[in-house]
Parts: sequence; structure tokens; C-alpha cells
Amino acid sequence: MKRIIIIATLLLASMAAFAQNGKSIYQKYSDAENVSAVYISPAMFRLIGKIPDLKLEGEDVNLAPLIQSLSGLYILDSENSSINAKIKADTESFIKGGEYELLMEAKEHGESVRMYTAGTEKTVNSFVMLSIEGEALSFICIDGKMDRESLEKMLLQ
Amino acid sequence: MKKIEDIEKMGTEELEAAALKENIHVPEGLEDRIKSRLAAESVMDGSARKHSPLPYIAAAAAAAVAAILAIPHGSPALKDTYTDPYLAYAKVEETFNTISNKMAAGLSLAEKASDAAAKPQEIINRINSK
Repeated sequence: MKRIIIIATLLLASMAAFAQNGKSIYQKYSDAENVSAVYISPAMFRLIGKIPDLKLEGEDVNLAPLIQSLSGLYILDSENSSINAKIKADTESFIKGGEYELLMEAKEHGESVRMYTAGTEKTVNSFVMLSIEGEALSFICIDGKMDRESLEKMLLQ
Repeated sequence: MKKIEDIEKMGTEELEAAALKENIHVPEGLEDRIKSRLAAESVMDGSARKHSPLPYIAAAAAAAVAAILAIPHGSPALKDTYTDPYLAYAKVEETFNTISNKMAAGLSLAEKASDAAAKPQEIINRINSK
């Protein structure tokens, strides 16, 4: 009987770990008090990709291929300190459980920013940014099959 | 003819002696069949006594399936925040700009740190060159 309980617990734990991702965090906290949320679906990204001459303001970068490779954008902006702690803990948990690597970490004037990517040398399957400054937390998760070079070039513009 | 009660009271040796006295034909191969039957039974008993993991695995799988069915699945489909692709694009652009700005701030910190790290080396080089 003990073995059954242990095996079932392990199975449930692995299922729970598997379920944690940007989408699940968004679903969990998007309706919380003092939390504003933005979700953009793959279908909307396909529509955006059809807009002619997508360019960043003042930059000469064609965003269409990158935009079309996205499959989800999840943004949570929270000013709820109790929720902030939970979002931070959940994000750290799924980062540790997944194949994410730290892209950048910066701490200055009380603001802490961490960026993570998951994927291969050439492709980014997921990008996560967690920024905390005082009572304000910003969580951004971008899923897709992004060309790493294009993404990094665009972010460094 | 002996009664069953009398036979039950007899010892093994007496029973063997009595059996040898009787002129009863033993069917051919009976001993072998008995031996193989006994061996098969002992094998069956042994395997029954072993703790096979199969029932545990089956129970765990059943528990997992039950858990999957019990957990509210595929939470309601997410609804797009924007219905207008131009507004959605504006948000995407703003998001990329935010990330870009944060990254630039981080890189600027790293540059400052590398400049600070380079100064002692410059001083050492100057001293060495004198």
C-alpha cells in the first residue's frame, strides 16, 4: 500500500511540475486583484504577421518573421505584494524544473530583472522576464519557435 | 478388510508393509506423474509467494488516471486581450521595447563593471612601465 501511495504521489508531483509554464502562471494570477494581464494568442500573432511592413519604431528591423513564429505572449503586471511573492515563487519553480537558462540578471536601484530562455543554440522556444521593483512586479513570457539570432538582434537594438 | 479408522492409526512403516503385501498393480508412470505434479505445485506456490510488482504498478496507474480525471482539465481557453491586430501589435512592440530597455540597462551595468575592473589593471601597467 505504501508503494502505491509513493508511486501515485511521484506521478502527481511530476504531472504538477509538467503543468507549470508561462500559460499556467498567467491563468493562475490573471484575475487576481491589482493584477493587469495581457494575452496574445497564436491566431492573433498570425494576423499581426500579415500586417505589411512590420517595423519597430525608428528601427529598420522587419518583425514579421519573428512575430509569425510566436505562439503566445503572457504578461502580468502586479502591484499586489502577496501575489508578487507567489508569482516569483512559481516562476522560479518552473524555471528550475524546465530547460531554461539565465540570459541576464541585473540589480540596480532596488530593481531586479532576470531573463531566461529555453531552446537550442539556434531556436528560442520560450523567453521569460521577471522584473521586480518595490511593490511592482512584471512577468513576461513569450512562447514560440523564435530564431535566436533575430531575437537577440532585435532585443539589443 | 481394514476400516479407515484402523488405517489412520497405522504408522508409515506399517502402511508400507501392508501395501507390499497386497497384490495391486500400480499403473505405469504413476510415480513420475505424481512427482511432476508435486514439482509443478511447489513452483506455483513459490511464484504466488513472490511479491510481483504488477499489482502495484496497475494500482499506481489507476491512481494516476483517477487523478488526471479529477483535476479540472484544460482550464478554460484563454481569451485574446485584443481583437484588433494593430492594437495587439502595438502591445507586442511595447513589450519588446520594455525587454530591450531592461536588457540595455543590464548591459550598461556590465560595461560599467568591466570599466571599473579595467582601472586597476591600467594602474598596474603604468607602474610596471615606469
